[in-house]
Amino acid sequence: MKEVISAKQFAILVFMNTLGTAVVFIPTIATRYGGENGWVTLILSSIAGLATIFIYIKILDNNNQLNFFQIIEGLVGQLIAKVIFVLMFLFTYISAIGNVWALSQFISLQILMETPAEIIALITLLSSLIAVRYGIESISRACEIFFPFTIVSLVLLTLFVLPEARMENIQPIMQFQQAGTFVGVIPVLAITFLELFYMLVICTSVNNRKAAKKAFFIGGLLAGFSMTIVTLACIAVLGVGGTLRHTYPIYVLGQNIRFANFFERIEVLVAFIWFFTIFFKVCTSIYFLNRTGQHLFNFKSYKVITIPLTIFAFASAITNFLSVLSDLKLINSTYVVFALFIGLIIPFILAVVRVFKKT
Amino acid sequence: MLFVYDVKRYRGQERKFFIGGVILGAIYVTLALNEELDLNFVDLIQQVLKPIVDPLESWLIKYQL
Repeated sequence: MKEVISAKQFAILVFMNTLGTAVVFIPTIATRYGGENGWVTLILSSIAGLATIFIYIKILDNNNQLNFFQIIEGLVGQLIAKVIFVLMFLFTYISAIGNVWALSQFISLQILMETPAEIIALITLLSSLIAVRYGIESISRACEIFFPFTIVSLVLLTLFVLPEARMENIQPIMQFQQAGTFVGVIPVLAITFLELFYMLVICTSVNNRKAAKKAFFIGGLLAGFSMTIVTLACIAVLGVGGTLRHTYPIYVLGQNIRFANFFERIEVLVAFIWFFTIFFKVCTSIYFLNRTGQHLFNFKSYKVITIPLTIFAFASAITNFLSVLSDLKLINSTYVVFALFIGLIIPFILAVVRVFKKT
Repeated sequence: MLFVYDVKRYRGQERKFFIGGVILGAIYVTLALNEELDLNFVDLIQQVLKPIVDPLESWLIKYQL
């Protein structure tokens, strides 16, 4: 039975997938390159990200009958398509285990200090295993329910830190680090919009393909706007030094909330944003991995792969990453190259092939 | 329970893949938890992409604060 979701649910999934992980690491990365112009880097990244989404939707046609894998095979042939799927699988696998481990470390370091990160990783992966086995329809519906909570948390965070904001922290605008502001777009794009290629698999499950393409843009735009606001708030409240010094500046931002002498220490509100977004991101990436595996091994159902893949993902998540600092180094080096290749160069070639095939 | 349900549900190649995958996964997890296996996908990708990554990384560092 083919799973069908609405364009609205797809837009929310795109929003959650763009924001997951990124919302915590992006302020530090953008500020490292742009200094007080870090938020400008985010605006530029959002524009570049929307251009990337434009490339992605160019790959798909308006034929509702074919899925993502059949479309790619139709474009480049079975053999090249299989190589592309294997590369996409590898990238998404690393992204998924990286996200699981980042969330586990965050909870283990900031909230549940005595709990081993391995246990948190196991719980996260087991929850996503259940969600993935229920299917993308259920994931999308759950995502729709939790979306207001995420938005409310984001709005509250931004509103409550406003009194602490110092405009001198974001000034002078575009006077220093001008080149860095533009160069910073590359790593920011790598951990946000370039990971979204796997949403194309879900895009083919949307009941209306044209509406899905529009929803892809809307989700990306909303996520870009949210990340810009969060980065602006981080720089305005913590300053450039403070944003760079903290591994999780958005969490520190939450700790700064003091309202009418009784509404304080609500940083867990910030953690909610991350829990929700990263959970759906992990679910979506594992769903993509399962669907890719199903196609590569020619299975009737993707559920054959769910349990073995989750076990492998758990073992990889707890062993493949050393520390938060090495993760940040990875994001600024290998991950950028891998993301540019899988998330930009390959889709661009596929989009060009699609345009030539049409003509 | 889920494992038993899945073993009963799948047939032929799918069942073989499922059981094989779970056994391999279990071995991987056991070795990983005991720190006896050094199967690091991230390191592997880093080694493969090293010739491209190194120049890009040194170029990016020039623009960092």
